[in-house]
Amino acid sequence: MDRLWELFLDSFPKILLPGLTMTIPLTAISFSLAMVIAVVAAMIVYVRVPVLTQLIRGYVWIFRGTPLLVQLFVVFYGLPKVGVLIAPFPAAVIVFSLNEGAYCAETVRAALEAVPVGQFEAGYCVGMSFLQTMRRIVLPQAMRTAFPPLSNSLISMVKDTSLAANITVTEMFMATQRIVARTYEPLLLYLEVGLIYLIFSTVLTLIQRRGEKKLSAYTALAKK
Amino acid sequence: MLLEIRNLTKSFHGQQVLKGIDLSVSAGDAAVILGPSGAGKTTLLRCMNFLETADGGEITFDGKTRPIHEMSKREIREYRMHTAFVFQSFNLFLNKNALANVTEGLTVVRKTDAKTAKRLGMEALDRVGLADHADKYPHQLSGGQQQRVAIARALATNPEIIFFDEPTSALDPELTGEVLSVMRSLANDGMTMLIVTHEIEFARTVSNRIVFMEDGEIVETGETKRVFTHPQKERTAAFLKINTEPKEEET
Repeated sequence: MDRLWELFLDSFPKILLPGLTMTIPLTAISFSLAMVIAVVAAMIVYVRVPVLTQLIRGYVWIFRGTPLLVQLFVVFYGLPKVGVLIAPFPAAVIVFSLNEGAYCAETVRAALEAVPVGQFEAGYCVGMSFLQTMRRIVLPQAMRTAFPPLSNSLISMVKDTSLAANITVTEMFMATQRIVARTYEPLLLYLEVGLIYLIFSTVLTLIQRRGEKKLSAYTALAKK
Repeated sequence: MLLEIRNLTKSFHGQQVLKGIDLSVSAGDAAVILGPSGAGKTTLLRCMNFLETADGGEITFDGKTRPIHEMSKREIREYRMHTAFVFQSFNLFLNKNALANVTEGLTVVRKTDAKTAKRLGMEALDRVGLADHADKYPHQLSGGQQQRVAIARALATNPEIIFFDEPTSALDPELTGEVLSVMRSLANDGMTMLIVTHEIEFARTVSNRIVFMEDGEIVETGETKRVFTHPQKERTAAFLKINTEPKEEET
């Protein structure tokens, strides 16, 4: 028992460190890019820009319809076949942001569509352009609506980054696998890495709650 | 003549809802458009501020005449800088407090500096009696208060004309009074207003001109007193009779 406890304490920083230096940056960068993709894609579909709308529908269709792991393999192991070599970390960033962007584009689009059309009309009538009304009035309201599901996606992504171990990104899960190979204590170590993912998710959940409260200033839920 | 439209037409799904409307508004007019539901009153008002695109017709504003459907986005925005619109459902910016609702058109569109915008915004809120609600969000205000903020928002940009689209129709009966009294005071101050309303008594006592519409056409237009006492068309007389008699019995 003492030996297990010692292993736990000894491995904890060794797993946490790649969590802090790999899992979190991978998530943060990919999710930020995914948000940019999502908002731009959602706005294009929302205003039905010809051609671009169809392209985005195709993009969402493909990235939502195929497994994340397959996408990672295609980009990292497949593309070199046609001369495109991408290092593990950037390859993971590309796949995660495109994959997450596809899901979040739909979330943001639905949230945009939930904003009453009268908000646009009021913006136009005080002289604002479409883009001004979008940026100052409609998008902030849509992002408030989209915030909980987007937080969901973010938490999901933290855990999904473990798949990057398959394309040799030395994030938390790969670090754990390496320790397991050395110590033959899979139960303890996989539970341990699970615990660390749980801690990460819990922190994000707490941040989500605070963020929601802050964003709710103008909604009827504000005082609850 | 401040604003004039000629031969304005509009169809929805092949059904013509405006059949060639001619209408003019002079500076200082408080004109009310009356008529039964489905007459095209709201569509007319929305076409006049380009919330709907008319199929055809001409608009003259500040001495310039343009075919409506040829107007560019820029021209429409330029026109809207001089007009304001009050909606049936208020349409306050839900993510902005009362003051920010009022100043948005100043700071964002007219590039007024923040300090001046705040002063003008507070003046506008004061004019509708809501200066002490400046930091409240729309959901914290009653319907009547929201509509008064919407009127303040319309006033803040110092428009040459304000369009009112059934401003009291979404309100509880006991809240219509506060909105109508604000509008009455605007009319007294000489604000040019074009109002679609079902408040016949308000139309009779506040407006100087009546436009009576039915079935996509203007049936009769004239000075308020004349229209109420000597309507020239039978249809106008019938509408006014039905809509005023019960009210008189009540009082």
